[in-house]
Amino acid sequence: MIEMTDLCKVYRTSDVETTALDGINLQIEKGEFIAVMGPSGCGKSTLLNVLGMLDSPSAGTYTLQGERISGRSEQELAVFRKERLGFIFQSFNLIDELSVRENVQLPLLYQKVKPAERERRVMEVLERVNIAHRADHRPQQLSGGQQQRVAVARAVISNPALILADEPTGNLDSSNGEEVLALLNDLNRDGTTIVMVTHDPAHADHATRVVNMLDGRILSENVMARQQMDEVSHVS
Amino acid sequence: MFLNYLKIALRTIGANPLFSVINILGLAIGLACCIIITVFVNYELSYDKHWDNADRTYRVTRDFFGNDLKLARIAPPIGPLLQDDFSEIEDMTRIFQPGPLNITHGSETTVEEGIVIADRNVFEFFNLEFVAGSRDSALATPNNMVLSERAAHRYFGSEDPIGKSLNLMGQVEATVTGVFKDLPENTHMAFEMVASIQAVPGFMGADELTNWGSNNYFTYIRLPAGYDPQRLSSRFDDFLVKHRGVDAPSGTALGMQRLTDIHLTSNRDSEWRTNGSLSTVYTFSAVAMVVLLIACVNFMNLTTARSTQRAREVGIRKVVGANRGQIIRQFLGESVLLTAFAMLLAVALVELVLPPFSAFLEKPLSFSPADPQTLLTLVVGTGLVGLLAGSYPALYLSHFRPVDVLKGAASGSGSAMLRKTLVVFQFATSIALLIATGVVMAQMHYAKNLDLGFDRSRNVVMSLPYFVDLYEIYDPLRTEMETHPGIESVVYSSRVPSMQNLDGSGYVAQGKQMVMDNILAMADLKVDAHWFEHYGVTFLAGRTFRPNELRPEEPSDDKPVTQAWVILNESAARRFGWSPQEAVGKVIVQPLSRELDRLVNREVIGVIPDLYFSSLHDERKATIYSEPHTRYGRRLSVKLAPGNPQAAIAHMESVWKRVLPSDPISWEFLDDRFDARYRAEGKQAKLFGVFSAFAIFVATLGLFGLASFTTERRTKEIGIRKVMGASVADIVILLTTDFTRLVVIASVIAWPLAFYAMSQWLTRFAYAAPASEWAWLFIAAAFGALIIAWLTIAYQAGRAALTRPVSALRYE
Repeated sequence: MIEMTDLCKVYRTSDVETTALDGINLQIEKGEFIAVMGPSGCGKSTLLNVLGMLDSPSAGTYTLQGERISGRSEQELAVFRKERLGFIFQSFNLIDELSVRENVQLPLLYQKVKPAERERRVMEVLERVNIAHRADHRPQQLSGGQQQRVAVARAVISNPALILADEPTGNLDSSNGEEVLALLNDLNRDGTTIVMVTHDPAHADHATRVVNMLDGRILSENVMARQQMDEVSHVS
Repeated sequence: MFLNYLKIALRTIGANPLFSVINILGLAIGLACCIIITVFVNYELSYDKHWDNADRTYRVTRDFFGNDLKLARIAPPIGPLLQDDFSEIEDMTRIFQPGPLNITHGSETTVEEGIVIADRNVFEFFNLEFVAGSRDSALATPNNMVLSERAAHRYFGSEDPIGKSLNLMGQVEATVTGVFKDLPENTHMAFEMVASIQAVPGFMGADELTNWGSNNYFTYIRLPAGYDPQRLSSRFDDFLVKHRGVDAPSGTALGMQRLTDIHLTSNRDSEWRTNGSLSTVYTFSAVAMVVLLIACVNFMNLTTARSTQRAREVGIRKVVGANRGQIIRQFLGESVLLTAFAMLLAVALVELVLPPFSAFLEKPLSFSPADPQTLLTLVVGTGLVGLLAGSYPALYLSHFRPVDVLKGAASGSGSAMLRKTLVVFQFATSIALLIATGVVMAQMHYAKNLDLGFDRSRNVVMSLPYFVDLYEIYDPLRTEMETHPGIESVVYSSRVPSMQNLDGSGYVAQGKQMVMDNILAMADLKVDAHWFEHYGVTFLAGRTFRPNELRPEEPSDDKPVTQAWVILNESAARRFGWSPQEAVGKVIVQPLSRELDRLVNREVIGVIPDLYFSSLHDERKATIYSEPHTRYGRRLSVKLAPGNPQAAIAHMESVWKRVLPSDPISWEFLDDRFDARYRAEGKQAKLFGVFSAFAIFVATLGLFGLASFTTERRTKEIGIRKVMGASVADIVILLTTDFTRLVVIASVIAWPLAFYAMSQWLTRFAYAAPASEWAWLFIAAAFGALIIAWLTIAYQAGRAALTRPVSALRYE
């Protein structure tokens, strides 16, 4: 589903050159749940940004569902994003001026989905993440865990092929964190591919594969037993 | 999607009341200025466009080269002769505006300003609509008169005026034969009563209508559609040669003005009334645009300054699939929405302000937002202003990369330079407007206080009736008026100071050959021997007239050459090549006939300085002062003693009533007449002041918002500095220094621009206030702007500086 070959990302300022990604080769199959781990500054978030087409690679190729991403215009990337990707951030990134319902339906607005269909899907996904009773509240009126569940709802509402989660539990306490991970597990079980950046090895255990990074390179890849992940999910 | 944008926009407006108020109020003021000025400009541009075939109707004008006269009126024979000679002239009409005339109705005599004497086709020529009587035959006989509805109502109330009679100057018993609809206000002409030109020979003399020297007739011609007027005007010199001889084109020329151009582009001597000016239209349009632009700049500045607050939203929208175009549309939509609120407020402001503005300009300006065309203009205007104000913020905000803004890396710093540039622009224009206002006022002050070369104070002036012998009434008027202790002296003259002196004739220094080439054209002023003393004019050389030099004889068939005396002004002496002292005793010869065979030999008995006779708009002309023949000297000047003038004026009026029982008196203070000559500029200065105040207010609003934003952003820095020992004063200085620098740069930019613009404006005046009188304004305007800026920022800076550092740091 995803293929990255010799992918590099170099940041240049007037006198410093920083290599954030250094020859990444990574293949992700449909239905995988990948956890990306590594110390601060190792390039995890950059990798996620490139995967999410929020940033472009300096060199190498990136193919999503058989289509080459590198070198495409911002307009085309916007279309890819809205049709195929969902994002979850550590800091939730909800729009304060909009209600929960309005935040979640935002991707559908850009996909020009009809109002009735939009409303149906919003309520469906809000119920799925168990926040429907808060549909008309503003983000500031919710707890961190609730806000992240709204963010998850927003990420999945357009049925993306790939969900990218950048430390989705980083700002949450452990019980809220587990709730969010359980949601991601459910999504993955339903067939959604997930790439999640995390610091926490316990959270990485939810993944089917863990990619360890250091200094912009992939250090190792551990394939975990699906069974094991299911058990963890069951316990939580 | 639109609803989503609308929601966000409304909530953003609601969530940031300070920024919203600044933006909406600023834009509303800018838009209101623009609407008001547009209403004014549309009105100015509408002048004379309503007449039938206005685009191919022209006014014929006449210039005299010798004494630099540019007349709006021409001599009465010219119109008919042009029509005879040039078959392309489809129609022609002449209107003579004689000035105030006495009209008697029953036992009551009034001075009528709006009376004209015209060709009988004048109503058809301008397609004036009649409400009573027949248009075609209305002026069929010399004693017919046609009234406007307003004049008819004034004289006859609700009675039918047709067939009623009015007496004109005690000379003509005129019968009212028609009533026409009042002329609209937006025409360069002004008349309410029309008498027939056929009556002219009866009371102006048999040769008046063939007199090439009586340049008193507005003459209009109509040319065929698509005809190039140049084709006609290029043959005017040949026309003059044919009718006035081969020398004529060297002394005079005819020209043409399109009817629709007269109001805004013609500023000739002897216009109907003071016309508008294209430069005023341009200036006020520019000033209104500047105020609007300053308001747009506020919007740009405040929106980009707050960009960090919106950046995250942009990032999220992009992450969920919005493209840049959609983000741009969203922000443009917001600014259009904000502008729409501002427009509603602006329309309310205009409704409020237009009536006093209209009264101030003395023009019937109207604004009806419900009118479909106006409404469409307002809607389009809202869209355009919204797009203009929102364009840069939309482009700027939409360029954020989600990867940066979601990490909190984006900031408004990229646009800081632009914001500073825009603040400089706002202050530079505000300072330039302040300077402009100051210079206009300085010129007004200069004009009012300049030594005119004579003493105009405590003078009351009035016109004497047309058909009375000056010599018969002058002595009784003068002697009886002067018996009152409140009246110092009484003199007559052909024109009084403050009037344009358009009278003139040619003179040749004695000894030079009497040929056209040697004739020098000079302005003539007929005065009484006491005139110089009355007006406190000092002699550079020589003296005033002696009793034996009064009432000179006119040349006649029996005596073709007569003797008389004159006083020159300095310029006139110089034109003959004499110093004041040399001039005294010289003789100049005045030819009174085209054949140069009737002459008056005039001995120069004195020389006076050049007087600022009319206004500072006009050059001081070379002028010959002489004693009048009977027909001249139609104005009286009465000098009052210091103190309460009421008793003296009552005495003056009673003497007049005794000497001239059938002519109502109409007097004015000379000071008021002079002030009236500067009324247009005075009004311009006031309007400039008002618009400058708006510009500065809107710029200050923006600065207030920007200062509040900057202070908010620097809260943490202020806290740290205070922890390190900075005093409140240190913090205030820190926060004001940046803005002070911007205002200083703005001043440096504004100065040369304002200097250039105002130097150009001052060229309108033949005598402009010297730079030394207004140079200080440049510094004053800059300091004024600086103080306004300081006061604006000081509030914010002081508030931040007085906050306890711990809360500032905790806030961050």
